[in-house]
Amino acid sequence: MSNAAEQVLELVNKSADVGEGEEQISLLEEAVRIADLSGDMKLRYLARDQLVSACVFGGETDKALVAYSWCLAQFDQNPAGFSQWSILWKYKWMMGLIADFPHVSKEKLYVMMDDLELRIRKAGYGLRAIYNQRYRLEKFRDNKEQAIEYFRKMQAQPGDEVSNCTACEIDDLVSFHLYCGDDALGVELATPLIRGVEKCGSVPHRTYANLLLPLVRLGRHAEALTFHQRGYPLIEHNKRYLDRIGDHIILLALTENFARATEIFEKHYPWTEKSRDPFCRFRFFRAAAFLLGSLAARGEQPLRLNLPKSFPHHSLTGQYHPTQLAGWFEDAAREIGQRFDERNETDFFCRTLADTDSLNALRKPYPLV
Amino acid sequence: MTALATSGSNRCMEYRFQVNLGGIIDLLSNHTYSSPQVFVRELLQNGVDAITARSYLDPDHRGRMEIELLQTGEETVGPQTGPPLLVFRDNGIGLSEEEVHLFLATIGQTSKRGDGLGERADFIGQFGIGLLSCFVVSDEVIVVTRSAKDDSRTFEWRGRADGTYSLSVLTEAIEPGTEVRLHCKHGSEEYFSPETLKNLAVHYGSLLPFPISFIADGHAEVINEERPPWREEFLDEQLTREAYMAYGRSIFGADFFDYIPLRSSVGDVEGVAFVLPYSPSLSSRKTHRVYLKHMLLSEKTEGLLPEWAFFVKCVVNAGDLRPTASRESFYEDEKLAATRERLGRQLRNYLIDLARENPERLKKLINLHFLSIKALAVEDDDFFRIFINWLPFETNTGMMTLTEYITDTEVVRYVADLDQFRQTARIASAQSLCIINAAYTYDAQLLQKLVELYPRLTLSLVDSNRLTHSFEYLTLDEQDAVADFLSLANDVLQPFRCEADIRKFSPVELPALHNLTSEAQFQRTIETTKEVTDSFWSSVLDDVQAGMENESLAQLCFNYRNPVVHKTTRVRDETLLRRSIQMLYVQAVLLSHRPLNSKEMVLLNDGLLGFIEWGADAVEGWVQ
Repeated sequence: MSNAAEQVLELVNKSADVGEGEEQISLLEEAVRIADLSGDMKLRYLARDQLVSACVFGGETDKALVAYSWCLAQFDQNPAGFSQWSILWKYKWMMGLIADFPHVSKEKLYVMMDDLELRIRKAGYGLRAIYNQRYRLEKFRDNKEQAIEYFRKMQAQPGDEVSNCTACEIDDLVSFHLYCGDDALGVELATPLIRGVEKCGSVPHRTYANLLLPLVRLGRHAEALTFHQRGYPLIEHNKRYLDRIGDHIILLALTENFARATEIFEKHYPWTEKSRDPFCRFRFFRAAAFLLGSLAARGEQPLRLNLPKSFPHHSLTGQYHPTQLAGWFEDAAREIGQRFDERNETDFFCRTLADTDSLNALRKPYPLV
Repeated sequence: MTALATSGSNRCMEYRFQVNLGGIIDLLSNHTYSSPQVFVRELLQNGVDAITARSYLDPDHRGRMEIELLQTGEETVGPQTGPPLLVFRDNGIGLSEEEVHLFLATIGQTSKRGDGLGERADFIGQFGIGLLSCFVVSDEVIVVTRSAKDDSRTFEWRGRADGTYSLSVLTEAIEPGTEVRLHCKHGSEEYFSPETLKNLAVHYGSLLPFPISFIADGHAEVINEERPPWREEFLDEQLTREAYMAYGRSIFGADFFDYIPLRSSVGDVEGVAFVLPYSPSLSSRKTHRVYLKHMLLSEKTEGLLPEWAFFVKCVVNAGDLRPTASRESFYEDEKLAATRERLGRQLRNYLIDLARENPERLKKLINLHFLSIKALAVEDDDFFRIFINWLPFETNTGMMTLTEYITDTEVVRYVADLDQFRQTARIASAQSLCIINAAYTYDAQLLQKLVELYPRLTLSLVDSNRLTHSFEYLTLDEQDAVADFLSLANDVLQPFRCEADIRKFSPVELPALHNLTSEAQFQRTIETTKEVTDSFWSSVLDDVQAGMENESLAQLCFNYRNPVVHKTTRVRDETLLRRSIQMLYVQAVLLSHRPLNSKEMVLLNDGLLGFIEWGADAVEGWVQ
C-alpha cells in the first residue's frame, strides 16, 4: 500500500472511532487533502464519501453539499467505479438539506428533485423514497394539500432499499399526523420510538423534540418535560440538532423553567456563529427571541448572560437588556425567514416568527423535577 | 344461537382467532428470542419466580434448583435408544390444578398468582411465555408439579407444539415444586450437551442466591458456589484485589487495569467497574453485564453509567431497576438517573483518590483514558481543577499539560482544526509561539473552561492569518519601497482569491507563506469542486457560496527577510515581476501541502517554461 493510502485509511479509521462532530470532520478533511495530493481517484472518492456522511451527521451541511457534488461528478463519469446505491442514498440527504439554503432558487430544487427521481427510476427502485422527498419539500414550502397528497402516494408504494429505515418511517408518520393537526395520534404512534423498539442514528433524537409542543397542547406537561430530559442529552453535543435545541428552549420557556432555558441558550448560542445552516439558525434564533421575550415580559431587570465576545452586542459586564436582546434575535431570525419566504413563495417563516400569541396561549408554569 | 345481534336485522357473528401454535413457536424462535439458548434463561427464571413465591409463604424456606441431563441415547442400544432428556427441578411454590390451566396453557398471561402475590414486582418472568421458548428445542414439554399450598396432588402436564395439552394426576407424589422435562428435538442436540448446558446455566444463573446443582453422567456439582467478590469478605487489600481481578478475567477474559467497587442504595445496585486495559473508541457502544435480581439480564446493557464514564466495563446486580421490553437495558426513569449519578460519583472519587495517592498510576491511566477524563472535566469544575495538572494537550512544541502551558504565559493560543494546526505549527515554533491543537473532542471546551476559572488568562483562537499579524512590520521607508510590488502582487493574485502582504519573519529561508483561514479553505474547496461538477451543480454551489456571510480570501505573506523576495521587490520589469510573483505563489501553495487547482497548475507550467525560455535566451549569446 502506498504511503498516502496508509495515511488516508488511518485517518478514515480514526474518524470512525471518534464519533459524529467536528473532530470527525476535521480528520476526514485532512484525509481528503492527502488523497488529493496522491491523485489516486479511489482514495479521493473514499475520503470524500466519508466526509459527506460526517458533515451530514455533524451538522456542516454546506460542506456536505460540496463534497457530495464532487462525488456525484466522479460517479457520473465512471458509474461502474462506485456504488450506485450509496450515491442515491446520499442524494436523498442532499435533497433534504438543499432546501435549507434559501439562496438556492425554487426552480433548482425541482430540477434536483426530478433528477433524483430519474436516477432512482433508472436504477430500478420504486417511488416510495421520491414521494417522501416530494412530501418533505412541499411541507417545507407550506403547500399543505400537495404535501398530504404526496404522503398518501408514498404510503401506497412498497418500501425498498432506497426508502427510509423503519425508525425513520415511523418518525415520518408521527410528524405527518402532527402536521395534520392530530397531536394525540402523533404522540401515540411514537410509542415504539420512545420505548426504543425501533431506533437509528437520528431517531428518537429528533422525535423527542418534535413531540414537546404537541404534548403541551394536549396538556401533558409532565410528559413533555420528561421528554425534554430524555431527549436533550441525545442532541446536546451535536450542532446538527441546533434547530431541535430551539424546540427544547421553547418548551422550557413555556413552562417557565427559565434558569434551565437560559443555561441551554447560553451553551448553544456559540454554535450559531459556527453554523452555516440558515434553517438551523432561524429555528434557534426564533426560540431565543421567544425565551428572551418571555423574560422581558416578567420585568425589565437586566439579565446576566455568558455570551462570547464575538456576539455582536457583547457586554463586558455580562448584563443584558432582555427586550433589546429579544429584538436582536427576532431581527436575526426575520432576516433569514424573509429569504426563505421569498424563495418558497409563502409567508410561513415570518408568520411563524410573528405568531407568539399561539405559543403564549400555551404558557403554564410547570417545574422541572 | 349464540350470535350477538346488533340493531335491526343485521346479525353480527363473533369468532375467535384461530392461532396456530406451531407458527407462533416458529416466530418466537426466529424473532422474539435472539437465540434458542434463552430457554435455559426462561427455565431458570420460572424456577426463581417459584422459589420467590414460596418464600412469601414460608420465609424460612431454602430454595434450590437442579438441572439434570440424562443421556438416554448413549447408554442403551437398540430400540430403546432415545434422545437426551433434560430435567429442570425447583422446590418452589408449585402449581395447583387451576394454576396449571391458567399459567401453563394460556399464552400471554402475566404471572398472576392465586395467592394474591401476582402483582408484586418480584416476578420477573412470564410463566407461559417462558415455557414456550422450550418448544424451540423440544417437541413436547412435560411439567410435573405439586403445589406447596393446600392442594397436595401431583399433576403431570404434557404440552405439545401443535397447541394441545393433556393433564393427569400422578399417583406417585413428588416433593412440592416443579419439574420440567424436555426431550431433545432433532437439530437441537448442541443444547443438550453437558458442556453447553452447564455453560448456559452458569452464564445466566451464576449469581442466583440459592444453590443450582448440575447433574450429568452421574456426577453432580453446584455451579454457583462461588460468590461474586462484592459478596465476599477478604482478609486484606491484596487478597481483595486478586479476587476482583480474577473475577474480571473469568468474566471478560481480559486483564484489566484496575477495579472499582460499585454500590448504590438507589436502584439497589452492587457490583464492580473494571478499568479497561486499552483505549476505547468514542463511538463504540458502552455496554455492561447486568444482572437483575441475580439473573443475567444482558451483557449489552447501556445507560447504567454517566456518558463520560466510557473507560470502564461493569458487572452489576440491580435489585430495583426496571428493564425495558427488549431486556437489553433499563427503563430510563428517575431512579435510573439517580443510580447513574451515584455510580458516577464513585468512579469520580476513584480518579481523585488516584491523583492524590498514586500519581504514577494515574499517569498510566491517563495515557489510556484521557478522553473519558476530559469528558468529565468539561462538566465538573472541581474535577477540572485537579486534572488540568494531568491532562495532555497537543501543541506545536509537543505534548503538555495545561498547568505546564500556563506557567509562563497569560495568553492561551489555540487552533480549532487540524488544517489550521498544520499551517500554524510550521511557523509558530520559529516565532517562539506555543499553540494548542484543540481540534480534538473536548479540548476547545476545556480551554474555554480554563479561562473562565482563571481570570488572569485570556483565550485566543489563532488562525494562520492572524498569526502573521504578529510578524514584524516593515519600516516606513521599506513600506514605501515595496508599495508598487505589493499592489502588483494583489493584482496578480486577485483571480486566485488571494491578497498579498509583506512582513519580516523567521525562518529566513521561507520566501512566502500561503495562509487559509477555515472559511477561505472552504471557499477554495468550492472553487476546486466547481472544476469537476456539471453546470447545474456548479450553479448550486454558487448559490451556497452567495449565502455565506463574508467572503474570506486566502493570504500570501511575503517574507522581507528572504533574500530572493528582497531582490524581487526591486525588479522593475513588470513581466518578469508578474511571473516571479506567480511562481512564489505556486511555490507557497505547494509548501503548504495543498493540491494545486487547475488554474494554479497552468500557472506552474507556464511559469516554469517561461523561466526556462528566459534562461535559454540569456545564455544564447554565450553558446553561440
